[in-house]
Amino acid sequence: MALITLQNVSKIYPPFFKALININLQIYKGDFIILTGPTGAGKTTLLKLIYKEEKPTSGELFYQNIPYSKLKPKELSFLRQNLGIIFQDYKLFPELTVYENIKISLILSKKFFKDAKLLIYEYLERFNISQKAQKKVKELSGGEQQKVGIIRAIIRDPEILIADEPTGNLDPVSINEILSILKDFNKEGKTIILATHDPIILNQNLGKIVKLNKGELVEDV
Amino acid sequence: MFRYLSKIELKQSIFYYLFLFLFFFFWNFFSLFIFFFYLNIQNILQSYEDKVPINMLIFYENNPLNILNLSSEIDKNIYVKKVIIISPEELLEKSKNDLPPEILKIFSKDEIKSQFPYILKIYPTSIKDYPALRDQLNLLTKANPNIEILEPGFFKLIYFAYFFKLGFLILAITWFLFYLIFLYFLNTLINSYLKNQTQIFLLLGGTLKKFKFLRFLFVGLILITAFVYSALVYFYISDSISSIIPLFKPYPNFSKINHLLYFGTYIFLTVFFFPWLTIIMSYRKHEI
Repeated sequence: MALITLQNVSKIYPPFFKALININLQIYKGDFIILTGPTGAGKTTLLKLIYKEEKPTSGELFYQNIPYSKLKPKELSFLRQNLGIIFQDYKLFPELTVYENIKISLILSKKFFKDAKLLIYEYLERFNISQKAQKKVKELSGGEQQKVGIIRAIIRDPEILIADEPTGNLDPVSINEILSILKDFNKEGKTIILATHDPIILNQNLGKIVKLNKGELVEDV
Repeated sequence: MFRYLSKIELKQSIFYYLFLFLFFFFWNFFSLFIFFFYLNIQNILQSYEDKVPINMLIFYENNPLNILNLSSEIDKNIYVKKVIIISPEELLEKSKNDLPPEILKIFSKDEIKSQFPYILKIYPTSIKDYPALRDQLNLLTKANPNIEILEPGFFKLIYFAYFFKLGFLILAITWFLFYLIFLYFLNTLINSYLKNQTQIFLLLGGTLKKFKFLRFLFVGLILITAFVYSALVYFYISDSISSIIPLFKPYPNFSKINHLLYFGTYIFLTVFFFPWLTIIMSYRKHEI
């Protein structure tokens, strides 16, 4: 049984912009999906449909055969608790500190972590931003904010990790760090959906490449 | 969790909460005064409605039969509830003590009585009929110079009170709608200000329940504080008014159970129930 299924999904933004056209895709547990394509191809829209920030104009998405449109708020919340999302625009709480932003994510995942504070600092050390833990997110640089967004997503040990251009603002060292984390995650049987057009990532043969162009699925390797 | 959400909520919308405090302070203050005036006016009307006649003075009339005929004619008028005749004899009897003793010595009783008019106390069916009845009676004064019409000096106040009582419901509904619209508008404003943060919270797996509860907590606290302050000011002023004007009584009277009940219901509706309702309504389109 597929974990996530997209069935004839189209998304049109008013008035006439066709972001996605008739997409059919099945994502299984343990898959490493790399969504690629030029800017405006519909990668981010596809991800937004998966974590239900957007609704499809037509077609249906399924989470373990349950249609998204039938998900009750509680079920939807449960689905999102099992997701780790790295947003392209970071989506952090600007008024909270780095530590608080990550802590919220941990609390919301509803998983038991023995020593959350220690775990958060471990990750911050790993990404070399532990000295910024008590700084407000709005005081950080773009690259640092991206690191916080990544930590927030992976620290909750999600079943599915969705990453939208996670390496956009990062230095090569950090990119390699993230790639190694993603690989480890995948080895543990976790599902990863990664949207990128970064050639460094594409050349690494990490998993199944799904290519989009002008909203259409042109290649599914 | 609530600590972090409170931080998000307060840091972004503290200004709106201050505004809410000021609004509810004045709104509640005026609401209490509207009730205060309404209840007191009702009291005054109940005391005076049947006791405010138009006095018709008929001078130089020696034939009581003519007075009786006139009285029965007036009594047939649709605006008239009853007519009471006071003869010059009764009037003299009543005013004996008020007349200067010299007059009583100089003039005989019959001489004084001849200067006294017959008085017809004409009670209108309702206070609202008073002007129409007065206009009709005024026609008589034009036809006969020996007839005069007297109306009580405080009549205008009672007439205004009567219409205030009629318009009270419209005033109360409008005033209450103003409060509801303001609350809804304020909540919508805070929601739109916090829209991005709310969406992030939902995308991380949170639900709107926590946001709604937190908003209710803050709004409730602000409303309770504003209520206490404005109620204190109201009680101080209404007590002062009541001590200056004996016709006015302070409301609510906490020794009466029904007053306590109404006051409690008022607090429940304005501080808890309707704020909660407007918060839920304002969050209707925020689920993603």
